Amino acid sequence: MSNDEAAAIELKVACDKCALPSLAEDQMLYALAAISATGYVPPTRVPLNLCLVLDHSSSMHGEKLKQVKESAKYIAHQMRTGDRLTLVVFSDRAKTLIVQLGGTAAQTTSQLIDAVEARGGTEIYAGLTHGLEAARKQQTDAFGNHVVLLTDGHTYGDEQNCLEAARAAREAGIFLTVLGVGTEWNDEFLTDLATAGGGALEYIDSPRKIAEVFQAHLRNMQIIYAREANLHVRPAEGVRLKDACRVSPYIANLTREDTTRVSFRGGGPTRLGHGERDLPPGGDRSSPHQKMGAQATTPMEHSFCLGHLGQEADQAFLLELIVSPQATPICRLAHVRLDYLPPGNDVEKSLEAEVILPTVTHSQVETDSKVRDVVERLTAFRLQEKAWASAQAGDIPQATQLLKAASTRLLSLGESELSQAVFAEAQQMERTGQTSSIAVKRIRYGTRGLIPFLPRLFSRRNK
Amino acid sequence: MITCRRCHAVHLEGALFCDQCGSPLVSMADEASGEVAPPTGKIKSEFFTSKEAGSEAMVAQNSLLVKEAAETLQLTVSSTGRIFRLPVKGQVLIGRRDSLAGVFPDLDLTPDGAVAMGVSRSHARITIDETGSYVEDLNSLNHTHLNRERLVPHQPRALRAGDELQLGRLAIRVESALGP
Repeated sequence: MSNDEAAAIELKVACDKCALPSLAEDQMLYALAAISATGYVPPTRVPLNLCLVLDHSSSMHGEKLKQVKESAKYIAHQMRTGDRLTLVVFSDRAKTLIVQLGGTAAQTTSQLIDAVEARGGTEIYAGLTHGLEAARKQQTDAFGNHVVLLTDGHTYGDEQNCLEAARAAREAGIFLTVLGVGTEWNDEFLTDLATAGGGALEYIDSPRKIAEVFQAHLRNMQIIYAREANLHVRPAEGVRLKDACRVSPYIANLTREDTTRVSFRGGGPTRLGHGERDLPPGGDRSSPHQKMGAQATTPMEHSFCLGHLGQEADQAFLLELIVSPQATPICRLAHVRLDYLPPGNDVEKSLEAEVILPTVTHSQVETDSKVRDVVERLTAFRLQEKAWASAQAGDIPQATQLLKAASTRLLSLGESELSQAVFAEAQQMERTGQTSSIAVKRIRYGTRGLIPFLPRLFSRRNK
Repeated sequence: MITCRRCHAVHLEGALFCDQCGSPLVSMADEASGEVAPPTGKIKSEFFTSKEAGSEAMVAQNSLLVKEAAETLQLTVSSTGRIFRLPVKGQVLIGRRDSLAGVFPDLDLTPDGAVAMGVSRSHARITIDETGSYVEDLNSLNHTHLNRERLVPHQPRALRAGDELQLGRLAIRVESALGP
């Protein structure tokens, strides 16, 4: 556990066990790392370089485009002295509508936004590259640099290019947030896009919520506690990181950086390796049988890009560690470090925490119910994700079974309404052999937001 | 290693849930010690055996009962993985123990967090006879749901393998007990 009052943020780690049973075989350990604002120092408002990339294809016609235009006008009026706002609109081609530097919107801004009409197809790559380029033109290190892409549709054939553009922008310090409106957008692609861009994906099921979501994101971008945060996990010798996943404020895969630190066994030198990936995206998928035969592993450092930590800074990450048999009475199992830049300057700061547990000879170790609860919620999320993958592969019986299993977990968690929705979708799938795109989105975005109680996670001991 | 009781997928010791079917996992060590799900309250062993507490010795002791109950149903508490085998004939009162009030259900869900999950002292009753198994809500405060449908108090409904019961917020799976 550690904290840094000056930085106003705190890093804490809790495990599912209070001690490690001494076993002759590999075992799983769950560690929950939480980053939260301590509130000792008021958060700083950083100048914003924001580019809104808005879909105005013909499918946006009506209430959706009306709400988007109102939200864009609202954001233009919220810009303060020193902020930079670029508004890009796209359908099958993209154009820069407004570049607003340093101040609130002029009358002409509203007029230009009002004049936008719905027409054409949806080519996300055209809009995205135009927006990223616009953000890059206005970029300076002193700014929070963000691109917000809003779309309601699919893009065809340019997905890979989009992902590469988002990844390159993130590496250059520009973070991408994706807002999907309605039910027709390709959530798998947009999830990957937001992950590649180091930002979030938000599902907006009703046009009425567009303004609300925009306002929440604007607040989060304007007031930040830390810039360009990276979480580093270095398992100790004999410990492997099976998977790492964001679990709060919503469940999402993490973006891995390509740099790993490799410590040679026997106290040898430490070197930085580039482009090494010891943990495949989505985690280590090898079977427990394969693990059983594995030798003690060389410690490596896994780095995950978290982007800027905004007003909603409280975040948690579940680390799944595979621990080989341990011989010492006290085990140092992993080192967790958060590197970030404070809002006001470019001097990098770090917070560190160790995962240390005593070993015990008996196997009756109490499980922390809060960590268990997080694991159970993540299990429900993963089951429904597997179900959609099975359905897409045409294995409807398997998909149905997985959805029912997810429904059971949700019921056990007390999420009766969501459980019911999942069960109903399983039955529907059983009857028709098809999935409904509305249900997929509702269930996926319902289950990923299941862990809203992070501040309470570390507040008191479990009894 | 832990083998999932439901789908038989193999997991590392310490894993909490099966990633194939979502079931809670119980480690072999816990199982052998019998400490994970000790039978509590006034459990009538002639009615059911606690499979989680079933060390080899215990299974041997109850072999006759296990054999007798081989064609019956079993209840699995989703959150804890505790398994209860129902008798071939008779009644099982489900709820939470309250010795002050003199309530001693046959199936006491107190160790499964019954209070927090809104389970009443006398919550529901399962009746098993030659025509089948039936569940009946005993006018509980937080209701009994069968496959997400709220039961009308005191109106028994047929219970089958594959059903899902919910007592308050506590989920219980109904499965076929095909013997160990």
